[in-house]
Amino acid sequence: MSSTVQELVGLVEVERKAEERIKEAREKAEEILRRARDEANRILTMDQDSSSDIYTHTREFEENKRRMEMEQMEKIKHLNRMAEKNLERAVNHIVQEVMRLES
Amino acid sequence: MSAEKIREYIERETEAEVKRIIGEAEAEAKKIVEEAKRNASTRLEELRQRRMAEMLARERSELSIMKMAQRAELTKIRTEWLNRAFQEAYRRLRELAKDPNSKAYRDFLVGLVVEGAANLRGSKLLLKTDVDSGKVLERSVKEISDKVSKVKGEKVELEIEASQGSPEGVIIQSSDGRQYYVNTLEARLERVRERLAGVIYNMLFKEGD
Repeated sequence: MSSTVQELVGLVEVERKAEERIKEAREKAEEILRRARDEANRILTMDQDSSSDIYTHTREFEENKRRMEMEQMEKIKHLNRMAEKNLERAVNHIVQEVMRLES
Repeated sequence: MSAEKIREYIERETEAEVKRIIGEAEAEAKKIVEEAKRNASTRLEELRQRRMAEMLARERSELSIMKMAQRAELTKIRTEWLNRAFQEAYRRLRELAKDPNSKAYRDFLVGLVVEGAANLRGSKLLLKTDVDSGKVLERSVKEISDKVSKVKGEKVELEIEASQGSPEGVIIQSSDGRQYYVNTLEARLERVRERLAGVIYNMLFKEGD
């Protein structure tokens, strides 16, 4: 084989390797894009948990609830105190009214 | 151009192309991931806001239900005190009715008969009562008869029928049984309750003296 033919064969081989290299690069690029899309899907579908917000909020609610319960207990105590104090007068009034006769 | 130069040229161009392909892919990949992060962040914020709104609505509703339950509880307590006042009054009245020597009860019983008789027609009346009250009425029948006759403007004859288990107080009945006036303690208490429950209610829960 002449040197020119050898050189041409060598160039064909270089060209073939170049095409192979580009093909590999394209495959790698596709792999990079595929991984990026997977990562994007993972980001979009991951559990979007906002439990810390729920916790803060629930704590506020529990505080409100506790305050209302305390106020209610105070109201009940106050009611019972009033009624205890006024019971005798109310009973006497009822007895008087039952015993009040048409003249 | 020599074959060597051509080879170097092909290799250089190939490297440049490979670099461009990978570079573009990496840039596009970065863009995809960043856009996903932006979208996820937006969605997360929307979700957070939606959850917050739902929670606020649920809490408002729970607090409203709780307020209603608390109001009902206060009403129940007030009603229990009102019942207690009437029960205590009834207990005292019954205690009074059990004392055969009580002048207050005797006068009251006489008054019950006169009041009932004044509301009925007829000159012959039957007094239905319990055993203890019956004894008190028997002792005062003359006085009662005179009072009733005076009120009605005619001579009235009274008959007493006392029986075990009859309620305290008296039921005054016409001789033909067609008219009657219920003046038992229980009935009078019920009438007072219907008429004065609101007054007693306010009296029980009034502030100050």
